[in-house]
Amino acid sequence: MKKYIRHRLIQVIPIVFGITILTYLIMKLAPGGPLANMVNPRTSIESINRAKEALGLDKPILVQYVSWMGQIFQGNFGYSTFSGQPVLQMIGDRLGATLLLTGTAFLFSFLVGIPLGVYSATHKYTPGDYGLTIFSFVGISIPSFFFGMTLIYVFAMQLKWFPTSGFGNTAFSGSDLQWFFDKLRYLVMPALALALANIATVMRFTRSSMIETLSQDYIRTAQSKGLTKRAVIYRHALKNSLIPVITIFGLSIPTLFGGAYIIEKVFSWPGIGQLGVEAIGNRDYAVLMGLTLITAILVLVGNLISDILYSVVDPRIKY
Amino acid sequence: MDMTFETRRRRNLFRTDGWKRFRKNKLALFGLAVILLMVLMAVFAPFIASHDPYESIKSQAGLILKNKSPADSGTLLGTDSLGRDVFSRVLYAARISMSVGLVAVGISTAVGILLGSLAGYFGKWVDTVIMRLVDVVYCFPVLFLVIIISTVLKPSIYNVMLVIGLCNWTGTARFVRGEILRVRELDYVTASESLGARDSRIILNHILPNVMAPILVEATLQMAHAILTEAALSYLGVGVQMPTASWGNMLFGASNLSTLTLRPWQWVPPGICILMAVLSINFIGDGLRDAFDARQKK
Repeated sequence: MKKYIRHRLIQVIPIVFGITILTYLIMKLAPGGPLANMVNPRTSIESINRAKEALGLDKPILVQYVSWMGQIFQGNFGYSTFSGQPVLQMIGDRLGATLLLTGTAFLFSFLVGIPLGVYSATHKYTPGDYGLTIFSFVGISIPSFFFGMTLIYVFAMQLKWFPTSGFGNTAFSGSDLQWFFDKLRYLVMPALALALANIATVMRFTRSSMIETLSQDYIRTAQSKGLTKRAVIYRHALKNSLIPVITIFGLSIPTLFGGAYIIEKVFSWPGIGQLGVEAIGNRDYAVLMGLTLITAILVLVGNLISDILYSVVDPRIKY
Repeated sequence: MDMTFETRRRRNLFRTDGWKRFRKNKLALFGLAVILLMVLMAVFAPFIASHDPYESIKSQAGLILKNKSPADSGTLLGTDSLGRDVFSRVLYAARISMSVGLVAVGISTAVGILLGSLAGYFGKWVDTVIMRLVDVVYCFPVLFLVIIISTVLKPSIYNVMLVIGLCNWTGTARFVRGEILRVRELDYVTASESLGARDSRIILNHILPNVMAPILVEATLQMAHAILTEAALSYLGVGVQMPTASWGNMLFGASNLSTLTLRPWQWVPPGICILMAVLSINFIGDGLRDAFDARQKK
């Protein structure tokens, strides 16, 4: 297992380089390059060339990439071409909100998905199971923004249970517990909208894994010992059927971060997704580049953790 | 001659075991019916649509009927903020959204099959390079990658197809590679090799036909995904551009709170269309999986 972890960690290095190269190339696709937004039609060719020289844009692409990488390793992600702020600081300011949102959605997916999956598997081919199967299909098929808009329409506008959007009042006065519940009211709908597809995926995965586990010999042994159905399901079957569900840990990280772009726009949630949508509107390539890099690294780390976790939990797997 | 003709003749699709298994899956049949209906509606949109999707509807007094509910405007689904008929736009949008999905999946499946079979068949450094590329691309959330590239490129319907196609091939590639690794060890491949068949012939004639069924299932599920991605892109304003209607950008037009609350007829119909199209395709994909997998008992 240690060997596997070491092997997996070494693999990360070329992937990180690949990520930076791909990010760099994507941004190079931009017509006009980073100067496109800084110049207006009346700028002379001379001053454009001078600016290019100052930014090092006249050098070969490989040289540019290496110097860019050098800056990245020193923690300099450049400056927003729109507001002039350091990119890393802009992202840092917003990352917390996104982690809160995606983290909550992550918890939702497993806390809701696993019990539903277990119910479905233990009540195979009953109306409840069919109902949940259809629900899971709808869950992976509904566009998250449409679901989010529907939530706003029903629960915020008509029923007025939750606020329509935003992150709550920053100058909130009250005890910590009140503050917590205030934030929670803002969090519930976006987290649910973000989690829905994931809940459905976790549910289907749990269901099929559980059904397979329940057909194993040791389950029949447990049953013939006279154990109650409850004990068989929760003590014997559940643990083993949850092992494959760990792979969804890793799979759900890119889905949640990608989905955050949409959901943060729908609910005006002040995270990196909204920063990204603003940057798209402003064609702010420096910010987009920083976001691309940070998101990819987060996904990489998430996948690494879930792979290692898998090898720890399931000793049968040999690498 | 006659013999080969006989064996090569197409079997009647509706008499195969696969169709019988597919038919048992009620949800898949439902999906097939809905998709057929939607395709027909898209193809015959000019005959069904009551108005021009790009022209504002005017009242008899010559005023443009902006933001009118179905009842006020006398149309089936009301009008949008520019006074265009929502129902006609939904019909025309079906053409855009579904063809984007189809072309994008064509691209991603082709790229996935090509890279996956190269990696799986040749192994060694080819495999290493391609699989590392897969690992790298995999680190970028597909939606995120698509959004970024569409922003950088000039947004147009062709770029949307291309970008979604080029960002979505990793799953197919991984899968095809795995299948090829499995199939290439089988005896009939060795036999063909020892008879001196070229690599391309072995891959195209002997290996790929044996992995085609699961690829088709994968492609169907990918198509559902591609339609969702197009919708999300257009919702963010970097996908299909106005005035061309796509289901996603019809929802983009309704992303402010007043439209959302006061004029649900502008965003609910395209939303439901996306949901129904994607849901039906997912049902069909699931049914196909059952139909192709003869070993599976249900």
